[in-house]
Amino acid sequence: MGQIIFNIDVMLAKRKMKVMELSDRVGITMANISILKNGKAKAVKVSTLAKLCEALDCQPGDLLEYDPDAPDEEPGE
Amino acid sequence: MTQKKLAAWLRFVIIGFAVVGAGAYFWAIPQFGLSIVGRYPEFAYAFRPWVALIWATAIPCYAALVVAWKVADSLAAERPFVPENATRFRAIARLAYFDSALFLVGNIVYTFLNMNHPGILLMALGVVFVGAAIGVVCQGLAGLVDNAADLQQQSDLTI
Repeated sequence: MGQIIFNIDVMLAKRKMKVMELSDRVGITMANISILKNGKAKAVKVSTLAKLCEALDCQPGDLLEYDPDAPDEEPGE
Repeated sequence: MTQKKLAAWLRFVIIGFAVVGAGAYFWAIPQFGLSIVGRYPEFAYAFRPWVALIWATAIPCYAALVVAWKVADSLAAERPFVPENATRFRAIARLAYFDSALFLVGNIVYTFLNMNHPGILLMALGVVFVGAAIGVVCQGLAGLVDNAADLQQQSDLTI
């Protein structure tokens, strides 16, 4: 099984937004944004995804990418 | 009850067991043995081996108290559902099983060496059953904490 990748950095660059500003707009901590970016998240609430799309003015497909070749890692490995 | 209060109570109970256990193992039981020897001097040869067996069974008990103290530490840190606590409960279970087996084997050996009474052996089975029951309960707790730790991690990593 591959992995879902969050292309937050790509969207931040496109919108010329800093991570801290995104954190404030969405209402999640920098640590949690880091967890999303590093692929360590186990689950994402639909409401969080909606807030990310609203803050970055994009569609979920712009943020999410499925990589079938990514190694299947458990957090902590 | 908050987790910090629960941790404080658990530490109080652990200290209580340690103190009462020390009194029992290092004063009450040897005194009881000496009173039997005083009344029946022909059993004097059995006093030291029995005290040695009883003191040997104290070691796993105190080791379990040390492990339980670490569980209390994690409760105080408000991190009860971590894999380490499941490991600790499994360790306490193994200590309980070992202690029960040690006490049972010691009683059987002393019976064959004519240093025991069948009535004492029967009572020892009761003690062995309690020890084994503690082991089973701790093993069950370990399984529950494992599942809870998994759910905690899922929750922590849900953004």
